[in-house]
Amino acid sequence: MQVPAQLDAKFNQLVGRYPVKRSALIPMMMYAQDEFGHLSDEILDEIARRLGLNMTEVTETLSYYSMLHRKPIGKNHVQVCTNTSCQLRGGFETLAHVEKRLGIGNRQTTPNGIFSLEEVECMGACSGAPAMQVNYDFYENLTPEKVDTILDQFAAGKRPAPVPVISGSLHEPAPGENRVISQRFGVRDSRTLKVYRDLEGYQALEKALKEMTADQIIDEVKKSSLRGRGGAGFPTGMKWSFVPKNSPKPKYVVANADESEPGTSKDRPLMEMDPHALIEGSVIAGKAIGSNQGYIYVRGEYRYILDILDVAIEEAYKAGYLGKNILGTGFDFELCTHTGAGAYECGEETALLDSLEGKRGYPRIKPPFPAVAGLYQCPTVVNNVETLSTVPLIIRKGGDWYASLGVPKNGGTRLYSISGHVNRPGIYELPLGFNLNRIINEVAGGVANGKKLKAVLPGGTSCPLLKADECDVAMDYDSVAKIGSMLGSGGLVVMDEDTCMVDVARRIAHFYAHESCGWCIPCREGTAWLRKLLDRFHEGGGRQEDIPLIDEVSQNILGNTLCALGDAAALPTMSIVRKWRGEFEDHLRGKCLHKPADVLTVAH
Amino acid sequence: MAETETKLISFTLNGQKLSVPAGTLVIEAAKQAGIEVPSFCYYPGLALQAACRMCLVEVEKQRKLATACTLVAEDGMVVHADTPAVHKARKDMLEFVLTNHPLDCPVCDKGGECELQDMTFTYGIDHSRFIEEKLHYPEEKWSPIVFYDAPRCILCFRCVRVCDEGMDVKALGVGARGVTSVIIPNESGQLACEECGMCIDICPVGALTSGTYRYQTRPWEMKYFGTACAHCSNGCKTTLSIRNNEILRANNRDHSGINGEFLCAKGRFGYDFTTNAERIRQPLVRKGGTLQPASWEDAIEEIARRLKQAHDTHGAAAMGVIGSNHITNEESYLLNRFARTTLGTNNIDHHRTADYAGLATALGSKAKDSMATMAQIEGASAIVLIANDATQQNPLVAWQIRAAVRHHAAHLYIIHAGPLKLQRQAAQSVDVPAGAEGRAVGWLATGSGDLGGKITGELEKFKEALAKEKDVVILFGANVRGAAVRNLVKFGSGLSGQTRYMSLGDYSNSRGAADMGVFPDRLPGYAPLSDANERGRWGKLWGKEIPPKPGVNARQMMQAALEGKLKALYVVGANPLKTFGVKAPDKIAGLDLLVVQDMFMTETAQRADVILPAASTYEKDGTLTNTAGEIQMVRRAVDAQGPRSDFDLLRILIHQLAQLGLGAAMKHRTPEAVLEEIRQNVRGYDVSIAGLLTGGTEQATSAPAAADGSYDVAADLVFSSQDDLFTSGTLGRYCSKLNSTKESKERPWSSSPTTQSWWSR
Amino acid sequence: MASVVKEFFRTFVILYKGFKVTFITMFKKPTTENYPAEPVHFQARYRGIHVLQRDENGLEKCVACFLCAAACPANCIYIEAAENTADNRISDADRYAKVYNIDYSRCIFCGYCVEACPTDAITHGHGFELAPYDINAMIYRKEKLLEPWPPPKATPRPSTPSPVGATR
Repeated sequence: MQVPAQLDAKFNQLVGRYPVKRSALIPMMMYAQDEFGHLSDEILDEIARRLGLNMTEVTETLSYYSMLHRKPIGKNHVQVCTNTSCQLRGGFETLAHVEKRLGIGNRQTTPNGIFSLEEVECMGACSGAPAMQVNYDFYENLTPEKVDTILDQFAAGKRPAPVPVISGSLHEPAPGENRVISQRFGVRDSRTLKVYRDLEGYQALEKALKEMTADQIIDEVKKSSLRGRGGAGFPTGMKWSFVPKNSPKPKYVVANADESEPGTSKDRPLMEMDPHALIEGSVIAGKAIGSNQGYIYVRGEYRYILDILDVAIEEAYKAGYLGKNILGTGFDFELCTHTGAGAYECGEETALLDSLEGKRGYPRIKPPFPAVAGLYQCPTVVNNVETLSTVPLIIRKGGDWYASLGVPKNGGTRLYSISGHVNRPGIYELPLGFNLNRIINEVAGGVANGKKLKAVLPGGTSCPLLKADECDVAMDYDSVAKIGSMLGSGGLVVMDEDTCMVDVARRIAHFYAHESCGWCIPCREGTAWLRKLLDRFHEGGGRQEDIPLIDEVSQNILGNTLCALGDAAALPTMSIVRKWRGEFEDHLRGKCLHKPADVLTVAH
Repeated sequence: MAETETKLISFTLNGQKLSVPAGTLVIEAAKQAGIEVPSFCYYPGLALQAACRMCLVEVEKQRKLATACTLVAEDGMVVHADTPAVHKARKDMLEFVLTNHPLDCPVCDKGGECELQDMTFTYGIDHSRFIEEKLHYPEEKWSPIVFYDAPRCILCFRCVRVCDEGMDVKALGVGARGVTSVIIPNESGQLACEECGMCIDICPVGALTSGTYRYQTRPWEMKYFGTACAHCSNGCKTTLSIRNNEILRANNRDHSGINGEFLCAKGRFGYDFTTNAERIRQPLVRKGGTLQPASWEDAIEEIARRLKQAHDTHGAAAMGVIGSNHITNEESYLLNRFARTTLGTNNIDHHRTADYAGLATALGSKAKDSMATMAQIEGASAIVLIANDATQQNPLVAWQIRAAVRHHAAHLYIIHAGPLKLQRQAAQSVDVPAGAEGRAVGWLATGSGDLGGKITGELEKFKEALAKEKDVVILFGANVRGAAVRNLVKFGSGLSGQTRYMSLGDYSNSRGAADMGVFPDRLPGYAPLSDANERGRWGKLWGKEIPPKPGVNARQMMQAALEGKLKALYVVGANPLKTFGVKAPDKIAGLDLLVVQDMFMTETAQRADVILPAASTYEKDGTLTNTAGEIQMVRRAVDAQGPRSDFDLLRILIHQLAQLGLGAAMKHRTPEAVLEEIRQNVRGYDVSIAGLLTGGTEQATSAPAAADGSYDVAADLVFSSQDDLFTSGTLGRYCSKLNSTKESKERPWSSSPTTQSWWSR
Repeated sequence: MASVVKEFFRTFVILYKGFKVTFITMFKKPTTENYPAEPVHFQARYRGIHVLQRDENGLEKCVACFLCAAACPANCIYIEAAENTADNRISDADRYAKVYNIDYSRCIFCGYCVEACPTDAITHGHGFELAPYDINAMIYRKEKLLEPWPPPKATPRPSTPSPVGATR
């Protein structure tokens, strides 16, 4: 098959990026789909030929990722998010509005082929909820009027300006905020190398490469008590120290930019406004573990971020911060981006590595851990974007300084993306150990419309929910764990007194059922069971025995799965059914606090 | 393989102290200790999955339950597989599996031998709390012999792994994700593969079913007979499932034997020739130009009478016998006796598909330690494959090679003309012109030969690499024959490590026919006919002297028959007209009498004067010797309706001719008795009878007492039929299920490999 | 006088006792079956000759699962299964019974087959007249055991005990 010249060049560039050709599979399919609108058998055959794969390998990878499709769809792919943050702020109503407006249902295309509609899972615009994506463009804080204008323009063949920066990330410092990582937010052209350099950029790299040994870097990071910002909160310095020093194999640094935890939208502005911090952090991590190759795995929905990163990487290469003999120190480091294609599971570090290898994103059996056998079975460090972006600060100002920002064992500050029923949803940087009640009331301006607080998701939908009276807690890993929840990914979702918790549980169940990879039985079957069970329950078909059943099914998943996705599905569900059992009883009597417009769609 | 001292560690399982080699998985240790830890996805020899979560066990000092299939036993570890928490976990997992699994056990083919059924019975609950609607997908027909029923699939990925890792075909993958995940074939909605059926065999539930067996019966209604496969020379053990005297299925049910669970398309689906409508079911005698049904008595008497007549008129030199690659050792042995003493001629030969005689004479007394078994292929540190497409011609050998490379990082070296699928596993592969394999071997042994600089350079590297190997198995096909085999042995014995050999033939008893001396110049056990002592020994045993003059070979016999020098030809289980490309429009001109014992109306049989219908391998008792020399018993699984075994026919004929004064009568009535005589008299066959009777194999290392440096053979006498996965000589034509597959018609591997995505990529 | 009254009374009691059963039975419906002149009546759960049932579309309920044959202590059920095709649909499932024989010279009417049947395909009817002159005639084939289709117009009363021959 004849491939257009531009795509051909892109293909060649992609194939050249990886030591194993198959890794280019997913990006190649994404770019081919952008070119042709869908993946035809001919183009797949061409990709298979170029990568030396057989068709089973291509189709099984393709069918795993929700953004890839083999059938033609409309010219403009309207993707409306209805996940928790958007749900709370009218995501379902938006979806209903779009459906009415376009006259099509979920996963349908208008007869003229201009629009396709899809209800999607969290797209990382939580602070700007409700949000939708048309093709790769984000539109946030939607109202019916806004939706109409956007759709009208698309129908007229124009492309309305997308929201450039996630809503809520540009604001005056809120009380208590300590802007360290987000110091460059809002600075004009902050994403350019020039501005980054003017604002102390790449000084840490100089220091790390010229003055420090690998062990010193790791020690400094250990001293800072920096813990992984992706969700699990594993101490970063320790993770780096697990990489075997004398391994003859190449080593890899992988930045996990597959931010897809519902309620979390902090990495997106960070990469958008400060891409060089991530690059600098990656190179330092490379030096620390003795790696010469890094990859930034960006979720497929964040295509514009990927483009920003590509530009920044290009700049860094030109300025000698990447490539061979960086800053004349003899240290080499190559860095490139890699796009995902729509799979929450690929945020799990081993599934991410499988995905990076061009396979279905299945988690791997641990041990061996990625530090020993990761990408291509070589020692690999996988770190969250925020974690890596913090590293330059630690190197420049010292681990002790960073640790002192937070509380013992929980060093520094972290970004919170606050969404849901608050007056000022947005991205805020707060020191660890900050009180949750103060976050809601002082930082985010209190519960919206003067309503009372009902529940809080402290770190994305994978965490058990907190009741209003549990919110007087210091937000650090240990204190939150003590009251039975997790600090998670920094996605703080606030729910007011009018929220129907059964509906929240139902939507969470939909999400995990959609995102379960299908590898292990409890998660694959359990999440789907929960989804059907909660759908039926919410729609009024519940039985008394279903209430303990929801709890028990969740509990049977918990701890029995290969990766943490099963736990992530079980924990919030269990916390809801236990803490708000009364609302379930109310449903049996036909009482629901909030029944969204008749758009109880099945997310498949 | 390097035998390193393996450290033993001890750990506790269910309060039992177990001592196992370091690195052992808990699930394996449990199995050895007789403690059942259930699992679906764990399968010995395939990649670990930890997907079904059935094997969850409690490990002391660990917060969560751990999967025994990925848990490596460590010193001092305390594991419990029998606690309430473990039992609850099993129950919960089964409840999850059953949420979307249809409860159609009464209809499902797997009912009665289903792992999910067994486990639910043992560990599960008797009711379901899942009241939602189950997922449903229609059943898919992937090929005439593979059907997929997605709702029944529990996604253990065994089929995907066995197709990828075991078969290296990669025809199966996983589609979609989450609860909607399904297994997908490589072409949209259908399979393009080797049709080995391993996926069906390995499926723990009824998701993958066999088109040849499905919906015919239930497992408990059948009888099972362990026997050896009737097709290629690898001698896989197979279990025939029988109901109402009909073979309904072939698989290696108990995973015993040299092949474990392995069977190829022929072994698994090529059993239906036994009931083919074209099967000859009664004796036929030519009367007035046409073949007409006759009674057994008439037919046998007719043969005896005319053989006697031909013998008396034209002498023993005008008699000829052509043996078979398919009949049992006992039958070949009897045929040898029949030719040499009853007919009194050394004109006996068969289609030699590999130079077994060459290897035996080159090894001589060293044969005992130098002939490789199938198991030794997997254990070798290096495997050399010369002039044979093992994937197609010797599927079990290829399976073993892949296992060696996969599990033990063995190195595979290939000398072959043209592309091979096994090159994907090869450490080095030398492409030589077709027919030049022997010369390449000659170059390896002597350093001289006209091969061109490029090949010589590659062979140089080949030699260097092999010199470093500790344990080498050399496999070679028919194109390495005569002097080349001697060269190969010379080269092999010059290597520093241990070297073993295996000559790769075509059919189920090719090796047996050679071992039983179906040659014009060699007696059983490759004893030279020129040796008067040997002649005397066998003559004494068979009750009549053996003529000293060597006979003519098969090609010469056919030529002589055309020219009228040969007057009577007796053919057993062979089709020499086809094999040797003899042109004879409707009758072999010079022959007075052509007798054929066969199952079908082959080209040769069509020209016969008398045809005796013969029983197939699955319809008689006896022993077969595979290409590695491994003997195993075949059992009469079904009764042939009409035909008789070649053993019976030869026995009766020997008796009949003895009455007429030709040869001596024989006292043995059963194959067992003849096997006893073989064990006592054929060199290399003195194997344990107990091993055979219990369904195992014993290796025969038949060879003359001393190596023979002068042995050579004409190129047109040793040649392979180049059968592939879907052909099996004349027999293959009558396997209708095998021939119903797409691949059997298209032969994707025979065309350019670059266009065949499933084969080449 | 008193003795006469007493005698009379005693006689009456004796007569009453003696004829009590006679009188009571006199006014009851007789239990004796006038077979073979009249049809026999059965209890609903009487285990007679088997009937192979059909579903509402006339398809055979039997899916040839062989469970009845497996459950049979007398080993009197013989089945050969075959696959349903689009052109030849016999049962609702993938498989149907091509051959279904019951050997009534061996059947002990224990009802295990009926209990084992997962699709309620085999049931006991009320037929009992098995005696033939040829023992081979005691092997009943599927065609003989199947419920007739379409159902005969004059359906017998299923609620009342069925007479002989109306249903087997």
